[in-house]
Amino acid sequence: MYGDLANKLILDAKRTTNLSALPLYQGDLVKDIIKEIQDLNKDAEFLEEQTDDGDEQLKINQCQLFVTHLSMRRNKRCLLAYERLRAEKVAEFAWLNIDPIGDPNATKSHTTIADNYIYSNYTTQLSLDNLNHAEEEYFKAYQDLMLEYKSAFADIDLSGDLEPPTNIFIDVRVLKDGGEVQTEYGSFNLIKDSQFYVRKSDVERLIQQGYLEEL
Amino acid sequence: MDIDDILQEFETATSRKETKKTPTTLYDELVVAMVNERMAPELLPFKHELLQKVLAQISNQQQFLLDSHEYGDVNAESGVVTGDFKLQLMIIETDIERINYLIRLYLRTRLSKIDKFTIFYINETADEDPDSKDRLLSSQEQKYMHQHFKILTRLYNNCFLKRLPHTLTLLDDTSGGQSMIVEPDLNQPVFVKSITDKPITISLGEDDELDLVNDGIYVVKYKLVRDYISIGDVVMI
Amino acid sequence: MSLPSHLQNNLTPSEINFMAENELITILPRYSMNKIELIGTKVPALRAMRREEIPLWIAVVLKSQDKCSIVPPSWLNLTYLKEKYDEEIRKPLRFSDLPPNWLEVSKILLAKASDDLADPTHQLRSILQDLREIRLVKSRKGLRELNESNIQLNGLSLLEINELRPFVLTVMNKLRLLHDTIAKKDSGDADNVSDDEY
Repeated sequence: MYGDLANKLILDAKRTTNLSALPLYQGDLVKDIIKEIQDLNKDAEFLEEQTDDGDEQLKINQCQLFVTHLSMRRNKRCLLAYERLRAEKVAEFAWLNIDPIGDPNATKSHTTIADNYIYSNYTTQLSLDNLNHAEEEYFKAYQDLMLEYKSAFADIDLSGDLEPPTNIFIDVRVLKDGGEVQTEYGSFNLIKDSQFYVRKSDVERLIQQGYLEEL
Repeated sequence: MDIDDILQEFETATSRKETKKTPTTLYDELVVAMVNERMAPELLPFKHELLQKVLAQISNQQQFLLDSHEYGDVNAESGVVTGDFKLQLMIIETDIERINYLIRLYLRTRLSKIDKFTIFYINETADEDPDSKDRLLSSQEQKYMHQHFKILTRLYNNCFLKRLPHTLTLLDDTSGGQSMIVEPDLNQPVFVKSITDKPITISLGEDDELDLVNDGIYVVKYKLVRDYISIGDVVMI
Repeated sequence: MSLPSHLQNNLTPSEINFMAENELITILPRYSMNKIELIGTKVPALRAMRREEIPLWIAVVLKSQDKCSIVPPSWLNLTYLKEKYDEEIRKPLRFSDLPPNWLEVSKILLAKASDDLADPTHQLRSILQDLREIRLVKSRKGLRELNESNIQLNGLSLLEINELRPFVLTVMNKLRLLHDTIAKKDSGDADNVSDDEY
């Protein structure tokens, strides 16, 4: 039946909506739908040429022509909806400012934000292998576009966390002796049981290494 | 004028101040702008002046922090830098982070709406005077919108549009009984709060009216309070 | 989308907490301190034992460093809250008059400045919980009156409103669809409850 293929595509898009990664591009399906549209168009052209079949036949033809046009448009809308969703997910990922999977130059990658529920259906992973060529191009172009937009706001980290900032500075207690620690806010010595008020980002490693605990 | 008059005048002056709770600090203004933008179904006019002011202040504060840290490094030995001074710098840095977060949310909310209704806003802003102070979008947003539309169109073209029959290659097709242009839904119900003691009466249609009183909280169709939001008598919550 | 869908047309509890942190609160400084110029506001010069109003988030920072104690707001004590609770029971059709961020502010103060509060924390917690529950029941009841054009929620705090939001919007949008499809044969049908307070 005409429209069945497009339906499949929409089901795939629907499933994709809530995924944190973008699934493989449905290239074959898209190709088949395009073929279907082209076939429908040939039918339409044929019907349009039929003019001298008498009144009754003309009405039937016009009706058929109408349905054919509707089918073509519906297919086109499905293709657009599918690709638009994928483009949205690609752009969404670009905002995280981390490297996609399969990028040979990958340096940054982190998934900590994926733990927060506000990102629960946000695209936090992107595998370049799942994109078609045009999508890959779009991803790069969107990254450029985003960078250009961001450049107007030098002091604002637009890709930063969308959760309100809490605990930028924290109280910590020293758990074991160590050397001197340098921060922008001066230096302090790791002496067991002493306490400091420090910038969290300055001491995150020391907490992981067991030198400090957050109070 | 005797002392009672002065007192009375003082009293009316302060009570007036209390009833009209216009945002007083940049902070409050930014929160209202961010929440309004988040809750409104359509894109609100860009807060050109507010953003300009806040961005300038952030950059001042950043510079102050830098200078202070440098000063702290140089004078660390002499004990000039007190704990209080450090604490103050920490408060300043936290303040910057908090403002930073509000702006980030404000701008990204706007971009998500621009992306949702791209063609609609391209049409809406087509006749705007590019030098006017009341442009709906900032110049960066304007650029973003057009460029994003361009690369999206290229994507659609390369994926399938260019292989479709010529009559089907438009993106802003309104024929065939269904418009392809997505528009904001101004009839969407929204949560609002009146913050003025001026009486506001909105018409609900069919000789039905609703009075919004100061501090009252209502859920109404967005388009009914749209004008009051833009003058600031009503805020979205 | 450049904004996660969870943040569209909705506030998160942590955002509401963030906004409550901007509210002013009175502190009693232990030491003197120079004024601080901030982007949002400014903190006046502090003098020991002289009360000042400053944003809650700064008060919490100063408190954590033992620089001040926090003067609890006039509504955050057992007597007042019990009165409000009684009022909630006495007047089943309206919400008692609590400050807009009462839930958030009390949560922050209970966590960060419990030693500055006049009453035992567990008693405060329990009366706050009672208040929250009775108001929740009331607002749910009030929602029976939902119609497609408007409702009134006077007296509710932002957090309480935000909890109702998804439900209210879904129902109102459904009602709107129904309303739009039904032919307007009888304008008298569309009663609304705008005048009833609950």
